[in-house]
Amino acid sequence: MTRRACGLVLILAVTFAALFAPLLTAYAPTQTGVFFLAPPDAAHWFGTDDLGRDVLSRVLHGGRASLVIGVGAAFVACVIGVPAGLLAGYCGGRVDLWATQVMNLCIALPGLVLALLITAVTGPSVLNIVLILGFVSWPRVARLVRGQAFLIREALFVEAARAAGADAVWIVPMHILPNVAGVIAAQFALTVAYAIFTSSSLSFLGLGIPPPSPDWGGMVRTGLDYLSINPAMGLAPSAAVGITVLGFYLLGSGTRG
Amino acid sequence: MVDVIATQHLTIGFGATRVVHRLSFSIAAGEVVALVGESGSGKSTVALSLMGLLGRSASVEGSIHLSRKNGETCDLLTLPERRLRAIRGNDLAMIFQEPMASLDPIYRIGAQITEALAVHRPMPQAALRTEALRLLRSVAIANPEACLSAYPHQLSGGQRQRVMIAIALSCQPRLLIADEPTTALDATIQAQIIDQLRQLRAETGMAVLFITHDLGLVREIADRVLVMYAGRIVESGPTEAVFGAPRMPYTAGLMRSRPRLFAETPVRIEPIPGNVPNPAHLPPGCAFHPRCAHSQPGRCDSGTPEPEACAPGHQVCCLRWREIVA
Amino acid sequence: MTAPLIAAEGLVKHFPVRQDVFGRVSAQVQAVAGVSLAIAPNEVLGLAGESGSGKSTIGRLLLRLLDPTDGRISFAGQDVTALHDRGLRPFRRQAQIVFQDPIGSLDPTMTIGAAIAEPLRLQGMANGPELRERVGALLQAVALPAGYYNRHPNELSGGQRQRVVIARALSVDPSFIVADEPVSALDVSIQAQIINLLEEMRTRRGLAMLLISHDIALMEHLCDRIAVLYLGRVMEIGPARDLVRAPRHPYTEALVSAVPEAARAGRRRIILRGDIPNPANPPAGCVFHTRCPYAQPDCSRIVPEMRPVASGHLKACLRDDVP
Repeated sequence: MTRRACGLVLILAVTFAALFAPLLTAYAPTQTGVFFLAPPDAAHWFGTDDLGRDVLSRVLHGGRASLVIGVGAAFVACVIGVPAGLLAGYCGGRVDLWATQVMNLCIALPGLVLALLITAVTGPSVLNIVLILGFVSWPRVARLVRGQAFLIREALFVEAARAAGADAVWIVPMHILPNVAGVIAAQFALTVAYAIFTSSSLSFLGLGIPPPSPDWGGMVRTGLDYLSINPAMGLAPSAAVGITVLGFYLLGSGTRG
Repeated sequence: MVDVIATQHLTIGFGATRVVHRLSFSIAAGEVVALVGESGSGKSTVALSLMGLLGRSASVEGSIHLSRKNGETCDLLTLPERRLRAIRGNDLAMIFQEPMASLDPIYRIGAQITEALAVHRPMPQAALRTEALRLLRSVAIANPEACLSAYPHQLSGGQRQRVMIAIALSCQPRLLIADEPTTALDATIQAQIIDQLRQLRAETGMAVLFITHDLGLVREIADRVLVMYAGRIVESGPTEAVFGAPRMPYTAGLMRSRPRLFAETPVRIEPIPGNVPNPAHLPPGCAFHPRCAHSQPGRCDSGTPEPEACAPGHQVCCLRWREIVA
Repeated sequence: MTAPLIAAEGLVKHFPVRQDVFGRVSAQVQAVAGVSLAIAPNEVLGLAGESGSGKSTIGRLLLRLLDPTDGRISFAGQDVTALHDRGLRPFRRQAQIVFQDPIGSLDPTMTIGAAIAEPLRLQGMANGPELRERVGALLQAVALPAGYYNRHPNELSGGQRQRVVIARALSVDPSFIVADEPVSALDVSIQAQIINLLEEMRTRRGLAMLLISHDIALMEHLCDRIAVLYLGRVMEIGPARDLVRAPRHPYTEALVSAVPEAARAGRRRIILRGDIPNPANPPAGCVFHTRCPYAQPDCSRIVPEMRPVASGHLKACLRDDVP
């Protein structure tokens, strides 16, 4: 099986679990019970948490927020990054010089710290996290697209199109975009992985989606306190983050190669 | 004359695809043999197999007998890698089409030549330098001292190829394999390099296997020619015999498909129809039959022609060569 | 000579090779240094020369794919040097290009049909069923099966791709084509197919062509006239057969004698010394004097002018007595 296929299988599994979470578990994610911190058993596969909620149900439901954040952030990153990269790569010269400086500046900023700062000011919400993570990831998309656009701009088929009277308005959508599509798709998947990972880190640091809705990073944080009582409480959401990030990473890196 | 190298039924495949089929040829000491073919004919694969550089993915059968400088004869296909390393660069040397790719960009030319020398002919540092200078002079590098301290990118394409030849010659190989050594070079530089190779051959008596697709060049430098098509030698013989009276329709077709210099009247050139076959999907029978004007249904598309002598030393692989001549 | 279809006068092109930290140009290569050429309708002019001679640059300048540093280009009597973008559209319909590399000159994401249709769409010459029909006719003209319309370039062999490239160039029915080494990336047995195709298109469509090549035999075969370039300057220009058989410039003589077949035809082999000089720092006087077997002291001081040696045959060499 190729990397790409492995990645796809993982992603499909995670998406399926998140989408059909209510059907897959007998408990609602916010439904509290009488057994606190019960270890895994037949009724609660991953046990219960400190408020008596079913950990499995919370992990499955938590996937929804993570996927929305991941895909949303990657989408925002591409919406900013692709046009910026195309512009810099195709125009070259001064435009490229300035665009590259801005990209380098943004890449130099530590994404997690920036996200922490902004969420601390604006307050955590799914939309805010999507926007922030999208904003810190766009330069990577832009830089990659720029490099490819730069190469393709010099291709003979682009020169042939120019010889037939084509201008940028024709060449960029007809030749450059289709040829960078593969790279964009790959970077999209990698950005999803990055965003899910970072959003979990944010939640872990207490700046994630506000409770009580389930979210992996937050669960890991609480789970850490009870590691010796119900280890699954922290390990299950960690594994979920790992599997999802791995899935998107495999898809992204496999697509590029 | 002693054969420096002789292959018997050399067959090379990658996975399920056979790219070279039962190749048998030999090169005598001091002889220049040209291996001519188009892309996918397997000519470069043959060269790499002689050097033992094909890698693990290739399956090689048959035998390649090399007579070494020390007098022993060995089958290169049965030797362990350790002993092959001693032979490469010592009895066998190779130069490639793109000399930039064979020179390490981060080392000076001097270091690369002396490294090659030191591996096979250990000598003191000062002697190494003297020998490197002598080698550069022997390939007509104008300013050998400056060349020694230059990096590969500071040299022109022609100079780089000269350096590659100098490295190849550093250990006085029995056989030099030259894989399209002038294809990437300009015409006037190609003329220089060919001239140089010819002189060196005369001085050192080494044998040369010259791989190219340029028929004009073959006629100029080779004593004998092997024409390859789809992994087989389809015609072989003394250069003038083969080009003077080509017996295989493919060879004849190749000659007719090139415009002739100084042609008396502008003649329309005759292309060979169709495309060079993919080694993974070779036509049955004679691999050339779908493109051949002389092919006979029921005959050329079923039987694989074996080499036949049509004149002394001149062999052809064609079921119909007698009828075509007549 | 009849009125030229395309003419260049005093064409100069500099490329920056080094820039300082502020992006200012600190060194330049003179890729083309004052070239004047004219090509008549239905004429094939060959540009011969080695790497660094500027032959590909001249092709791109003539098509206005590069902006000349100096000089003028006129097409059918109209000055096209100052035109840009929209103003160039009508000229773009008349002048097309065929490249050496049949892999790089087709967009891997575009079907063959879309590639051939592209110039027609750009020029607004056809659309819908008519477009499809014209592309079909072009495929037929270059002897490719109609079923190739929906294929992608990676499914085609090198020779087939080059046919597509030629079909694309011919789609807008141009009157002038620049063919930049159109066959040198192809297998020998395929080259002839493309050479004959180019010849056929020229006769049938009355095309004028600039054939850029290093292959002297091919040029003698295909061209009416040949211009020999060295370091961005024309050394000699004249009728193809005369120039190849009886070169009047020492460089042409060496270039022809370097063709392996020439030696067998009894030509004396001339091995030039040294390498082609760096175009960023060309020799003074005649640029060829550093490698010329006939160079005299004057050659390093005086820049030779183009002067006629026979009807329609000019050379830039101080000496009359050689070669």
